[in-house]
Amino acid sequence: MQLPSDAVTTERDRAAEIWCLPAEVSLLWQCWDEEEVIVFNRASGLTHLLDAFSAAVLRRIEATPATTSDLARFFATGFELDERVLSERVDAVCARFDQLGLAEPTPP
Amino acid sequence: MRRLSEADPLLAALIRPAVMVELTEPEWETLLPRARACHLLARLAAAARAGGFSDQLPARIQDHFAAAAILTAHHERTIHWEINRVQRALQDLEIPVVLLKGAAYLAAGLPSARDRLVGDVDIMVPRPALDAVERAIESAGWQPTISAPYAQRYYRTWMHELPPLRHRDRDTVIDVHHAILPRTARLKPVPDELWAGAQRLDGSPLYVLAPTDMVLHAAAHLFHDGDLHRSLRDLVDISDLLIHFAQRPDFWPSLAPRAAALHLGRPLFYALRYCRCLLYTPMPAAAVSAAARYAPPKPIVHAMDWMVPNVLLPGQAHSAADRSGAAMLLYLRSHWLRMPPWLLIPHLARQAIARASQQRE
Amino acid sequence: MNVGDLSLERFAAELADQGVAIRWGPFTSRIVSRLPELAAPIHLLYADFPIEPPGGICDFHVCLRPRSLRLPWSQRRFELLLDHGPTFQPFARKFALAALEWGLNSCVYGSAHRFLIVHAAVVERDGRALLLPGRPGAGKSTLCAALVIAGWRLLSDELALIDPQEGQIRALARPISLKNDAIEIIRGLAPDAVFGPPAVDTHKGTVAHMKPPSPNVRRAEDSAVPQWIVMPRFVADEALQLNAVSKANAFWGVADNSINYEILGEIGFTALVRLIDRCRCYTLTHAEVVDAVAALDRLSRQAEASKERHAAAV
Repeated sequence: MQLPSDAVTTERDRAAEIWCLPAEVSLLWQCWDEEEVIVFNRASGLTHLLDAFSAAVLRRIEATPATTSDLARFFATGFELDERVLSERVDAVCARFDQLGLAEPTPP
Repeated sequence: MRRLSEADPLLAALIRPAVMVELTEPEWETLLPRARACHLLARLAAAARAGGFSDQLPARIQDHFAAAAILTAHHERTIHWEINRVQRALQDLEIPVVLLKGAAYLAAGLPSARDRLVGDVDIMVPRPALDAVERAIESAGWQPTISAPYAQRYYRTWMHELPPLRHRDRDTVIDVHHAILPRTARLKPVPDELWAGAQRLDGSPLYVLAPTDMVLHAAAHLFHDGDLHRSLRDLVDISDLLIHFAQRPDFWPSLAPRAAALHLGRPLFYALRYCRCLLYTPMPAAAVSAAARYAPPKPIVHAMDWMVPNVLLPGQAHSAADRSGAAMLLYLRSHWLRMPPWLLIPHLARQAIARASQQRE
Repeated sequence: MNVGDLSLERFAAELADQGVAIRWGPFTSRIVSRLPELAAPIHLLYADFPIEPPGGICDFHVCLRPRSLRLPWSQRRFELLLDHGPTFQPFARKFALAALEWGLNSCVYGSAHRFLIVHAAVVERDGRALLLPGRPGAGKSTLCAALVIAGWRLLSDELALIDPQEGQIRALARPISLKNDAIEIIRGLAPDAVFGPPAVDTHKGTVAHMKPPSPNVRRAEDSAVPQWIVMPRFVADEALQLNAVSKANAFWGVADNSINYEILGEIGFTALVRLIDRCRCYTLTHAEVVDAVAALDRLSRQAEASKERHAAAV
């Protein structure tokens, strides 16, 4: 193997990235009321407590991988909310999912 | 060296697992706490499972083996996930990353049943990429654990690695190396050689060391790193690697020449000697004679023959006084090998002072 | 044969020699003690516990022995070994009994992974178990002792062992460890309660152990089905409050107090979901342990009454 002389960082087009569950991840859901949802990640063995909105976003991603703007549009339409405001929340929630390994962005 | 293996049921069970079916309950009563103390319970449990005779063992032992298997599954799941997270953190950098030690064994599907969580992951990256790697790891949530400037310098300058970083959510630790023995060490392995031999894992962007290098790295870690307390586990790992890689026809013939190229002949000599004498690891006579070339003078071999079993084998066979004396000697010896004497004494004194002041708090 | 069936002299001799194999709940421990002052307290507190016949396998091996021979008696220290390995730095000998109890719990934490283990007191009445999860210091041991005096069966004051497949809780019925004021409170509620020797001036104050009732120890083989989870909180001068909590909160509270929830992975998740599903979940804030016991008694009688109503309706 040839050693590179320096690290090369690839550029990312974040808006076009498609969010989905990481390849190894499968989730177990437990919901007693709608307010707080518990999700177990079989791949990590970790358990997470999600608020209703985060849980809804993750379920959507699990069912149908999508970009963050797709997700914002989906929830704005469904809940009759402002798409721009939702966009910020969706971005924040997805970023946290990435840190936790529940969802990640993939190239388009 | 005494023929310990015959007298010691733990060694006997490691060498020939089927012997477990013949053990009486009083023999298990001796073996169970020792196996647990050496962190070899999971290894015995896995051997019993693989041999298909778990259900012939006493019920209590089956319960303990089942519990050990749960710990093994937890360990594997955790390390696989850490590898996944490391890969995710570094994927934009497009640099080769070599997994080391336990994470490498697991990723490469090598035998390594563990009954405790050693949640540390060790990786090696090219030295020029170290800064970029450090930034990427920290932005993915790992945080420095050591702030004292002296300790930071010790790791970066002398130990060829970043000070360990702990993940803020998962509490697991990553050690990022760029070479495998400290720069000031009397033995100077050659990092470029290690990179040249590294092999990519199937279906993954990650690498592991070549089989010979994996064995030599484990040997260097066991016989020249500081803490030999309860490292029978590490000797068993080396033995398992030797048995696993023996299936490759080029493995044994290339081991001693490779040790020479990496300046790791002495650790190889010790690894083969103690695997052969304590664990009866099968090995070709040619390999043993090739490694004998790197033996130290006879008095040192005799001293090691006394020290090593005393340290590796806890329990009734050896007196506590023997053991702590031997452990102290080996710890000093390891440090001596890492750092020139003029550096060693101030370093140990500072560590002792730091430990004492921690205890007072 | 039980510990109490041996004379103290014989017990002390065996304890110091090969040790005594005592069974508690699902486990046996070989306990060796070379601290002569420990023989009488262990003989007292564990009188009703069975001794395993010789030649068998013990799950855990615990050894207490002196460390220093040169200092005056009160300053001598002891070591605790688990599986022949040292645990903490040698301590003053007055801690030895507490250290033994800690050591036995520690053995469970390290290796009993065929159970889901939760830091919780567990008591039972009419076949239904009440689980009181909480960290050390949450007041659960005091509440546990008071409930036992009020007639609940003791399963454990510190560790709940939950079967991950069937969901029952196993009994240990070991001595209940109490601190400071709690000792006097419990003595006040039960003047006949038997205590081991107190350790005074420990960093937690005074620590003493209450002997578990003999009938409870005799029933250590009987597991119990969990019915209630009540997370206790001792707050001085607060009015009593028994509040229902959401199941998600209860799940989190129990997982947070579990020793090995993460180790069990999916098995732990499923077991905990099942536990929360079948239990009514509460928090209990209390300043007086007597009030807390009354509230929990009422809770159990509501369940009994509703069971009778259900039976009558069918």
